[in-house]
Amino acid sequence: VTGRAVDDGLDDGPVEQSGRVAPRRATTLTLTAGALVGAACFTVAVVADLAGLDGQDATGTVDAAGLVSALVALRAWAWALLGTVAIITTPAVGLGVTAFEYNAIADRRAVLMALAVLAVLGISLLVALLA
Amino acid sequence: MAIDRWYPGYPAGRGDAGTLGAPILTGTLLVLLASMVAGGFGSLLGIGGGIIIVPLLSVLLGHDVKVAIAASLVGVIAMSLAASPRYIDSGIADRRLGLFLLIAASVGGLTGGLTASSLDGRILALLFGILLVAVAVQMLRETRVRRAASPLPPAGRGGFAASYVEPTSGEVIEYRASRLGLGAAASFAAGNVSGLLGVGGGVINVPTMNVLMRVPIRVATTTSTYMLAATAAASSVVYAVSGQLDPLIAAPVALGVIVGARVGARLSMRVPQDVLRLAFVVVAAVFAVGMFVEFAS
Repeated sequence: VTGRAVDDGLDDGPVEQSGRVAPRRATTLTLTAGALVGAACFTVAVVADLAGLDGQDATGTVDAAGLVSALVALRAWAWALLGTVAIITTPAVGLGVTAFEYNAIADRRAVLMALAVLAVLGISLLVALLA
Repeated sequence: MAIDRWYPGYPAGRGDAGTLGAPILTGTLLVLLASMVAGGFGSLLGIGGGIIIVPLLSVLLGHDVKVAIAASLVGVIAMSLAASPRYIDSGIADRRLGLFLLIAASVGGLTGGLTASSLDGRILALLFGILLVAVAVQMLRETRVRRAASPLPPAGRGGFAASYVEPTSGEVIEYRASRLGLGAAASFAAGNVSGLLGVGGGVINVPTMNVLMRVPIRVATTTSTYMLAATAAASSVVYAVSGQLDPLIAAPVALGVIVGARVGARLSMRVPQDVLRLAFVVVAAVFAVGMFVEFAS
């Protein structure tokens, strides 16, 4: 038996024991994958850093090609950067997946809440870039 | 680690001597080990690792306080991602309630990150010192005062109603989260503190859900853990874009916190909580002094 949300009832209206249970497999897989990818990248970064592969030759702003070649060369900073990006973006991906899961059971309010949080994360990036 | 050579906007002063007079202690291995200890300690006390990692990185290891906060936020996200799937799978974490509170918490995280980027590092050190004192005082109170758990009200009307299976007894517990407006306001504050100071926000989220919104403590702690990732993500983006996020510091911090938290979770049933709380009070007092010294210097 697993727990379930039975109603949101934002007003004081009657409780509807709808019994709808949103699937959660995709969300848990997404979060787990993000954590594993991030941890794997960080592990490579830490090991590479301890081994002295710390990217001393890297200068200026890094472009995509430079990042790929640094990853291939096992540069610590490149793997640390990749892991950081994986960790920071995973919550947003997870929210998108959660919205899909709630959409599958036609729980519009939960879908809107997930999308609202996703929108705030998007605004965060926008505001940070503009600031 | 010459990250300042390629990461635009990276602040100067990385690796300077700590304000407590500690020698210059830098290095990935040291940060990794320190984060393991912080993650384990935070996990044992249920307060997350950030509240220990930030002063540890800034006071003891001499990193810029904003860099310490940014690295701590990545650690907060990593820990939340590692722990949440289990809580979601078990059905104990209330995702719908979490999503509702996350709207306010993520806005708080964004404003906290923006505020921090405009504040002087010394002011942040002062605020963190005050937070440490507040949490330490709360820990002391919990050690001295044993309050009986107040019974949850029967499922009524309004709010978020849900149920979960209590793992220790197998009993189905029904509850209804009430006072949604106050809960959202507190979540905004928690997000703000998280973004501003790099802590998880659980120190505000959990009592808010449990005491204010009448949510069972097990649901409150797991839902709070689920919320931390998105809350911290909102503010860490601000730190990353402004050049305060050093991936080479974030990497050992995140790894250390994850490993430490797992070890701490296993030890939590064996170590007396009162001893841990008192140990935290001592550590927090030392770090608070360090933060105040950093503010005054």
